[in-house]
Amino acid sequence: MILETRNVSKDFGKLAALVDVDLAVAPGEIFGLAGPNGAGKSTLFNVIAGTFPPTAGRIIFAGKDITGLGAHRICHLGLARTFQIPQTFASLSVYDNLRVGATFGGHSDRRIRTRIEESLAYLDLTAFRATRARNLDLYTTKLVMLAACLATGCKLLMLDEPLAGLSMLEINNFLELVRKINREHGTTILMIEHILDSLMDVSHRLLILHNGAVICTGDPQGVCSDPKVIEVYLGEGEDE
Amino acid sequence: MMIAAMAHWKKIGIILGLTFIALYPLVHGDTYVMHIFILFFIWAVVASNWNLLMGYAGIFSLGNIGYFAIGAYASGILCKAFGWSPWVCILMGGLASMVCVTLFVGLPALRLSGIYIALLSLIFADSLPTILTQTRSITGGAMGLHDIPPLFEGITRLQSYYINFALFLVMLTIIYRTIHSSTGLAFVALRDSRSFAKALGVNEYKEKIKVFALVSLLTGITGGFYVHYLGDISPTTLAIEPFLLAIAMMEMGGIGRFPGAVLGAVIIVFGNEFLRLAGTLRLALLGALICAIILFFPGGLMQFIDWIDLRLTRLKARRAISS
Repeated sequence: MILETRNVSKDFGKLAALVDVDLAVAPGEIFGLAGPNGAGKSTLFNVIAGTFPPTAGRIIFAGKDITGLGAHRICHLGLARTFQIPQTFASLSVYDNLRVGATFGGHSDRRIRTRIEESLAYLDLTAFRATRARNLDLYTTKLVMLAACLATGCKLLMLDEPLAGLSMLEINNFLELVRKINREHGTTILMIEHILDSLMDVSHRLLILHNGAVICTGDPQGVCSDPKVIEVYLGEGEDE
Repeated sequence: MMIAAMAHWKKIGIILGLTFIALYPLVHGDTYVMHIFILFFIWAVVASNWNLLMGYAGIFSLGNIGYFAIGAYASGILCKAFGWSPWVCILMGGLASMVCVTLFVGLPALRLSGIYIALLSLIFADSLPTILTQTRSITGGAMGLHDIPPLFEGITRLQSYYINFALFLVMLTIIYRTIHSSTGLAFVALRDSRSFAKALGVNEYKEKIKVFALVSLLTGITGGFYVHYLGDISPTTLAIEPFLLAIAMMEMGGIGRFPGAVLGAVIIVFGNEFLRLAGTLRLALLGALICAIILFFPGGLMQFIDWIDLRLTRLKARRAISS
C-alpha cells in the first residue's frame, strides 16, 4: 500500500469530522473518495497532506509514518495535492507557478528547468507560459495547479474536487488527463469528487464517507449497489 | 530608431538616472545637494529592504526603522567604546540587528500572521526609545550619541557620496538578486497562496526566518553607514516622522514592485527637502502629494510606469498597422 490511514479521527471541538477512518490505496491505482457535503472528505485530505494533524490514528505513506509532519515535508516525500478552491500564485506567470513545485518539491537534482518544460508540455500549457495566473480561466487554472503538482515529481497525487465548475467537455478532458497521468507516469491518484458518475467512471476503487465514517469501500459496481450508499445518496425508499 | 528607443525606455531611464547620480558631484558638486543625495541613498535602501519584507514576503512588519536604529546604535557604540574600525563596527551593527530582530521578531512571528506581526514589530521598534533613555551611560539617553567617528579620518563629502552610492548599488543588487532567486519565488508563493505553497514543498518557517535575517542584516548595515556619515544619532530617529516617511516611500513607489521603493525615496527625500520652503506646511503638502498618487495610481509610481508602458505599446501597435 502506498498510502494507509489507520483509525484516523479528527475532532474540531465537539464536532467529530472524521471517525476511525481506514483507507488503503495501492500503488498505481486511481482511488475515488466520495460522500455527501460535510462528510469529511476535505478534512481527510487535509489530515493526510499535513494541513493539520489528526486527533488520533496514524498515516503511513510509502512505508513512512507521516502523522503530524508539516505539509512541505510530506510533499518532499512525494505526495502532492490540489485544492477544492483553485489555488495558484496569482501574481506569478504560469511558468513560475510550476517553478515553485519544481524548485521546492523535494528534488535535489538540478533538472528544474527540464521538469517545468515537461510538465508544461504534458498538460498543453506551453502557450500560457508567460501569462499571469490571475488572468486564466477556471479550467486552465486547474491545469496549472495540476501541472505545479506534477512538477514536484510526486508519486501520489491527491485531487480535491477537480471537476467542480467545469463544463461537460472540460470534465471529459480532465478525466482523460487524469487517466493519462496515471497510465504513463504510474502516479497513484486519490481523488475526491461530487459527480459520482464521473468518479465511478475513472476510479478503480471507491470509498464512501458519511458523517466522518467510512460506510463502504470497494470497486465501483459493488459500491453503487450497496444499500447504505443508496440510502445516503438517494434517501430512504420506505419513507415515501 | 525612435520606436526601438521607446521599447527600452525604462532601461534607458535607469542608465540615465544612474549616470546622472554618478556624475553629479563632478559636474556640479554642491555639498548640500550631495548631502540630500546621500540621505536618498540610505533611505532608498531602507525602504527597498522594507519592501522586500512587506511587499514580496508579505510579512506585515512595521518595525524596520527599529532594525535600522539597532544597527546604527550598535555600530556607533562599538566604535566609540572600543575604537574599532568603523567598517568592522558597521558589520557588527548589522549582525546585532540581525540577531535581535530574528530572535525577538522573526521567531515569534512564525506563530503569528498579518496584523499580529504588525503589532509585534511595531511594539519592538516602539520599545527602543525607552530602552535607549534607560541606558544613558551607554547610549547617551535622550541626548543621543555624538561624535561618532567617520568612516575614516578626514573624509570629504565627495568621498561619502561615492561610498554611499556604492552601498546603494550593492544593496539594491542584493535585493534584486534575492527577489529573482528561488527564495524570492518562495516569498511570492507564500504571499499569493500560503496553503498551496506549503503543499508544493515550500518550508514556510525557513523562508520567513531567512527573510527576517536578511532584511534586518541589510537594514542594520545601512544604519551603520548612516550613523558614521552623520556622526550622531538620537532616539528621534525612532519618532513617527521617519517611520511615516519610509512607509510613504514604499506606498508611493508601489508595494511589492522592485525599484518602486527607490522611486518613492526620490520623491519623498527630495520633496521633503524642497518643501522646507513651505515651512510648517511641509508635511501637509507631502501628505497631499501622497494622497494624490494613491488616489490616481493606487499601485504607486510603478503603476504609473506600467500605464506609460501600455500607452507606448499601443502607440507602437497603431504605427505598425498604419505603415
